[in-house]
Amino acid sequence: MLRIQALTSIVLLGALLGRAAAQDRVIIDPNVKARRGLYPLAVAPPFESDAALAKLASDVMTFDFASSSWFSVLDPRSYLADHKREGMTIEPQRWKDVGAFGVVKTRAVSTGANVILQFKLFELEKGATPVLEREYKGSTADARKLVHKWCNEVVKYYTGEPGFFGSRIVFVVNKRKSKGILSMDFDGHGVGGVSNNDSLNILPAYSPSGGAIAFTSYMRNNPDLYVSSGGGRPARVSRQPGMNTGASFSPDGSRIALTLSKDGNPEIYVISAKDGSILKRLTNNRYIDTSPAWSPDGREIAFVSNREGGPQIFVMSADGGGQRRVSTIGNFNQTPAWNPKKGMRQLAYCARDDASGRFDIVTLDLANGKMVRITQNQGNNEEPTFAPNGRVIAFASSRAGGAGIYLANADGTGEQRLVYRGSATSPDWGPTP
Amino acid sequence: MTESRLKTIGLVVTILVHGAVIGGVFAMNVIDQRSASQRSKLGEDEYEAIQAGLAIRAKSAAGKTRSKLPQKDMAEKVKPDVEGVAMDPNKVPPPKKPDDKQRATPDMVDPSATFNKFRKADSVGKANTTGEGADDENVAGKADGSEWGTLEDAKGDPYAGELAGRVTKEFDVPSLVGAQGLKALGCVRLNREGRIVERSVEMKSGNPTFDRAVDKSVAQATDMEAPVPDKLVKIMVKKSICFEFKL
Repeated sequence: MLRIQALTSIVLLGALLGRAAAQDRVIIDPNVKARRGLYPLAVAPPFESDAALAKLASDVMTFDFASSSWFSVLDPRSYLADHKREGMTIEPQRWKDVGAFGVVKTRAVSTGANVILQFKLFELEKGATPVLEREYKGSTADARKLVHKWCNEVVKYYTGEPGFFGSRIVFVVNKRKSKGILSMDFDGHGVGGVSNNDSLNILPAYSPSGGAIAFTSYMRNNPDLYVSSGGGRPARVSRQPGMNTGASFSPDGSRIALTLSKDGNPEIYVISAKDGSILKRLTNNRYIDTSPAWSPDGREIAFVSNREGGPQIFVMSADGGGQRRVSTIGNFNQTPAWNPKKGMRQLAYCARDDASGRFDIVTLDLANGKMVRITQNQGNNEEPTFAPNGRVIAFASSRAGGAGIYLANADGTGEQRLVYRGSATSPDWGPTP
Repeated sequence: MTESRLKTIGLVVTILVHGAVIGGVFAMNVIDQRSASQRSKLGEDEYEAIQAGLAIRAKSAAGKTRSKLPQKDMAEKVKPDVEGVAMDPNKVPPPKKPDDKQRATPDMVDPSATFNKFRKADSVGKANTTGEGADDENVAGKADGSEWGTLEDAKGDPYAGELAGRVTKEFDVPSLVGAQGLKALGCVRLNREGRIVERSVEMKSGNPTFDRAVDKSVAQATDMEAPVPDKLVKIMVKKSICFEFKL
């Protein structure tokens, strides 16, 4: 009884005080439109960690988050926190004072050939309780992969979408008398060879699962199509007379769209990924049709044709019907790539700036025709390919600051990052492992 | 004294306390209603001046793309017969007078928004219901033919606009916040000298990233460089001045 009376009293008193407080407030609508930007994330120096492992973890996280297109990583020199006192916890106000929205804490311990990585994510608005915690154990050689895995978890926590950290990019490196196929982590680490010959190897393409890479090689003099999967000798899948180039896998991986010139004129065909048998001819005219790119939903194929003069981007249904030009600006557009994000109908391609004569990367939203220029005044930029989540584009650039493979945000914002320095072309971004 | 008698006394005391509290709340409501009915024109006008000033700032920032026709909104609510401004779409406005060029037009201010926002503030806090003593410089609603004042009048007080600018200057919402319709109040309290003496985020949206963006913007607001003008002291000093942050 007394409890009920006390509770009622508290409620009434609260109502009175609340009313008094409400009278003390003036609300003004300044009609301000929010700017949209990056999420300021602080990557705290790893705590009680081995120096080399701590640096690796910090470096990987910093690069991953900064290149994700979602986050800006704060400069550690600005941090005010007492890291020793905080340990794996945080004092939120210290981090708020430097403008952070979230903080990542790490403990990285090496135990001989193995590592233990502990991570905690704090959202400052939620105080000193971590909102995400993970611990990973693995070999020292896998340390980078484990950090990528954590970063993917962070992206998923915030966005609900998978990150692309740990995915790989396959590309062509130009040697003195040959071209080789290499693959690397998206951040430029872990470079490894795919082709193993001194011939010309060009135009690599990942299968949807990432388990196979198709490429064209002159190793037997004719530009045939090979598929490399799981090591060993690559299988020669298509060896039609003339060109067997520009492979693009169907989303289920069972078919390959490519350019064949067996009848003299480059045309687009669909072949079986298993044995190279021709399933369908998609184009048939006296012009050049090339660079097919299969859409993520499997319904369409983008390609390049000079049927209306210079090379332009066209789209057709996967059975070859409804061929129509979609690039409307510029006299020279080539190498289309689809944004793999579900629900998007967006292409990235290389467009020549008719004023400067240089090539730049643009995106084109097929739903509304909106074009965004990704590069400008930075040498030639060609052969775009989207990250698995469609947020970032990799492309080859010959800019003065360093030729190689670069990453850029697919919306055209932010810094462009060099991930492979050297004479490299034809990047193709594989799936997230 | 028996236990039952003690319980009875306790119950009586509780009833008396509750009655007093309820009576107090009721009495304050009555007082508010009376004071609202006697609300001085000055108090309303000060709010309207502030809001009109903010409306102009927003207008100048957004360009001439205002989506609403404020006079049309107002026409349905109060239907004032305003000279020179056609509230009724079927009514032809009278010929312009030479001074018409100085009047507020839909492109210049949003009086309906001003009116509604004043009501909003009023309904929340019923603050500033007895303001007095302001000069006539910024008072909207002059008897010169315009219900909502001339452009010069409607510019309102730049002090409030300046404060709004400072509080919202760093409002930057990370793009990973996909949800729309979020809203929170970023509030400050000023002292007489125009220094921010208290900052808070109230009525949070529940989205931690959005709320943090509001928190950061309010935290980075800088002090005003001049004292609060005399005419705004009653509504701006020591009160929680809250700005709506929306996405």
